[in-house]
Amino acid sequence: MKKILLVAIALLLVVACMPTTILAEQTTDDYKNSPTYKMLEEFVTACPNRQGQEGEYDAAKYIHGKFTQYYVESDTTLELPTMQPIVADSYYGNNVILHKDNKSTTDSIVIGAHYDSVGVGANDNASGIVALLQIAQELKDVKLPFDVYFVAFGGEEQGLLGSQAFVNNFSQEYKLPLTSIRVMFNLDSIANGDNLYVQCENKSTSLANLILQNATGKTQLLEKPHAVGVFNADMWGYGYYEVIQGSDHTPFRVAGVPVASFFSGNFQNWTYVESANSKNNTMNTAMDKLENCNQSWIDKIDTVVDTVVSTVVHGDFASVSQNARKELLNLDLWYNRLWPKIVAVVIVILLAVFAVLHNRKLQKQALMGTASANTSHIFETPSADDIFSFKD
Amino acid sequence: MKMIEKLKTNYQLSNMIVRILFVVGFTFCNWQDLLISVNLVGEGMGLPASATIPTVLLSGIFMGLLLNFFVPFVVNAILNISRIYNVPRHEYVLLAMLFFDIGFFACGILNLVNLFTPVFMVWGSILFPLIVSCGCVIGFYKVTSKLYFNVVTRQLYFKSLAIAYLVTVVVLGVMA
Repeated sequence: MKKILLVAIALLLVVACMPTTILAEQTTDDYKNSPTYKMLEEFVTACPNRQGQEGEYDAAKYIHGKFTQYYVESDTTLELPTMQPIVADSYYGNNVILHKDNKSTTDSIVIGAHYDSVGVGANDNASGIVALLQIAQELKDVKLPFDVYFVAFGGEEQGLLGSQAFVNNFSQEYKLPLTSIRVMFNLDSIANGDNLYVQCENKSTSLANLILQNATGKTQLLEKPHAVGVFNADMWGYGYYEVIQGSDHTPFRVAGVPVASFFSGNFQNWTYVESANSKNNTMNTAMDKLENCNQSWIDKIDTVVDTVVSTVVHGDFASVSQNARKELLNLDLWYNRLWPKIVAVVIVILLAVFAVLHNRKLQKQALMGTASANTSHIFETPSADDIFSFKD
Repeated sequence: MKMIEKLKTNYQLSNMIVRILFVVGFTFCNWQDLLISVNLVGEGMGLPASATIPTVLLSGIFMGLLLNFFVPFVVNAILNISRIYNVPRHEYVLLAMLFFDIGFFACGILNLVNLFTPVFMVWGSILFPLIVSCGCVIGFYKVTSKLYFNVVTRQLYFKSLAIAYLVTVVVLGVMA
C-alpha cells in the first residue's frame, strides 16, 4: 500500500512539474500583463470609435489627458499640451501636441502618430498611439539637445489632414522655419503586419543606418527595400507613387523634412500588404480589433518604442539629424516631370532639325537620281517547282 | 540564320511569331505601369494590393492583343494618307510589328533600371521610350527605304514617316 501511495505521489509530482504545459499557458497570457497591452486595451476601451467628429474629439481629449499627466509628472521642460485645430472643407478636428522645450536651441524633432481610425483600429492606429505615449513617457525627463514635439494627428484617414495642418501652421504657430525640424518619426499600424519596417529615403542614409543600429527588441526591424512598391505615377506631390506614402510622414517629406516612418507589413508582388495571409489583412476594416492582439503585436510596439528612444538619445543622433536634410534626394530635380520633359522637347527639336536636313539631302539625290521602281521583297514567293515537286 | 532564311519563305509562321512577340514584349515593357494601374483601380474598388502576377499578365496580354489589331490599322492609315501604294502591305506591316517588338524588349530592359534605381524612375520613364522609339524608327526607315523605295520616292517616304513619328511623339508627350 505504501509503495502504491509513493508511486501515486511521485506521478502527481511529475504531472504537477510538467514545464511545457505551464510555460505554454504562461506564454499565451503573458502579454496581457504587459504595460503595453494594458495601455492598448485602455485606449481602445476608452475610445472605441475614433471616426467622425465626436469620436475623434473623445480620443483627442483622452490623449490630451495623458499628455497633461506627463506634463504634471515631468521636470520643467514640458509645456502644457495644446489642441491644434484642423479645419478642412467638411472636416473639423484637432492635433494634440506636447512640446518638450529644450530652451537653448530652436531645432526640434517631431514624433507623431494618428489617433483617428476606421472602426476600432486596434492596429491602425491605436498601436501607434500607444507607442507615442510610451515614447513621450520615457523621454519626458531626458535632457536632449533639441526640442521634441509629440503629436497625435487627427484626420489621417480623411487624407492626412492633421499632419498637413501641422506642417502648414508650424512657422506661424512656433515662429520658427520648417527647416528647424530635423527629423519626423511617424508611427503607423506598427503591430499587425508580418514584418516591422522603417522607411526613410529611397536610398541608404545615415539616419536609416543609425535607426537600424539602435534597433532593440524582440522583433527584427528591417529597412523598407528602396525600390519595392515605388511606381511612376505622381501622387501626394512626391512626383512618384509609393505604396506606403499614405501616412502622416508624407506632408513633412514633401516639405523637405527628413522622415523615418515605422510600419508593419509585407511586400508581396512588388506591393505592400499587411500580411501574406489574406485573413490577417484587417487594416481599415471592422476586423481591426483588439481580439487580434497577440505576443507579436506587443513585441513590435515595444521594439518601435525602444528603437525610437535609443536612437533619439544616442550620442550620434544630434549630428546625424542635423545632416539628414543634406542626404535627402532632390525631389525637384529627380521627381519633377518638368526637367526630363524639357530634355525630351530638346531631343524632339534636334530630331526635327535632323529630319529637315536629311530631307533636303534626299531632295537633292532625287533630282539627280533615276526613278526606276524598287520591287524588293523580304518574303520570297516559292517557285512553281517548289510547290509542285514532292520530295521524300 | 538558317531559321531566318526558312522564316522568309513562310509568311504565316513569321506573322504569328511576330504577333506573339508583340504581346510578350508589350507586357514585358509595361508591366510596372500595369501593376500600378491594377493596384490603383483595385484600391478605388476597395480591393487593396489587387495586383498579382496573373492579374498583371492578363491585363498585359489583353492590352497587347488590342494593340495587335490597332497597329496594322494605324500603319495602313499612314500609308494611305501619304499615298504610298507601292509597298507590299502585309510584309510592311509585319516589319513594323517586328520593330515594335524590338522596341518593346529594349524599353523593357531599360525600364529595369528604373525599377532598381527608383531615383531615375521619372527621368527614365520619359526619356527611355523616346530614345528607344527614335532608334527603332530610324532602323525601320533604313530597312524599308532600301527595300521598297527608290531615290525619288524615298524622299516622300522619309517625309511621311518623320511627320508621323514626330506627331505621335508630340501627342503622346502632351498626353503623358
